[in-house]
Amino acid sequence: MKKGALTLKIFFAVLLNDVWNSLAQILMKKGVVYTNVNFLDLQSALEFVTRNAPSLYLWVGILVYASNFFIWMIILSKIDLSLAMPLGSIGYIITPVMAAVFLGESLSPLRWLAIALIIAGICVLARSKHTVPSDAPLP
Amino acid sequence: MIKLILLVFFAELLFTVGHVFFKKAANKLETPSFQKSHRSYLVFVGNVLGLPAVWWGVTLIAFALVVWLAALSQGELSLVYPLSSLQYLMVLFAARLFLKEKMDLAKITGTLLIASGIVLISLS
Repeated sequence: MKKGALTLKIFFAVLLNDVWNSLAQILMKKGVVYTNVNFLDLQSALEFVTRNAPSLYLWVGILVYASNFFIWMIILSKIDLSLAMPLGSIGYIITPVMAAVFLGESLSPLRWLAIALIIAGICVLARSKHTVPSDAPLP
Repeated sequence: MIKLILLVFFAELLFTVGHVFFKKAANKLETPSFQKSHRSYLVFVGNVLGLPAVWWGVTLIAFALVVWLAALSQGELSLVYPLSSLQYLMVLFAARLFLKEKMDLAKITGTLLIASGIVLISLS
């Protein structure tokens, strides 16, 4: 595979990265049971950590989150950061669209407009000629 | 209010520089693939963990998370979430400045469209 080309494979890696990230978020949200915290106060922050530490959901969530980092590094080893970062915004539309399709949830017109803007942005990004770092060694 | 905006801005700055470090590290890595061998993925994980830039990035993003949580605990989520779209523009600038990534109209327009979409999502 050519280094730097925005191939379907890289696009799927970005999708996987986003789906995996939402899974981690859901697990961590389920795991955080004690939420009474003020992060500007060290004692309160410490209590937040020790009270939530026994949660298994939290640890699985953290594990999923950490493993996702390696998917992100695979993506970055292929394409520019200035391309990978905005592409990752596809995560913003996966959840609401899936909720609409599978759960029959209705989306507000404003949200449809937002989704359309993000899809348009991704289509425009895909036309960029500069996908690979100029000083990266080409195989 | 000003404190909140500054906190969000600072968190995004830390986050952006963290990703610049990740990208610097990634430029030194060879992409693993199943065509080469299954082991190339293990080698990749080992190589990632062996790069100092990765650990700088992890440290910066851990700090970014703490600052971000501090901002969230200030309340006013309706202000914090639209501001988070600023992140995308910041990364674009940082990539140009620190990574010498080439910009073109497609990247700038695409990123602006996405950032405005995210502002809309956070308002809806």
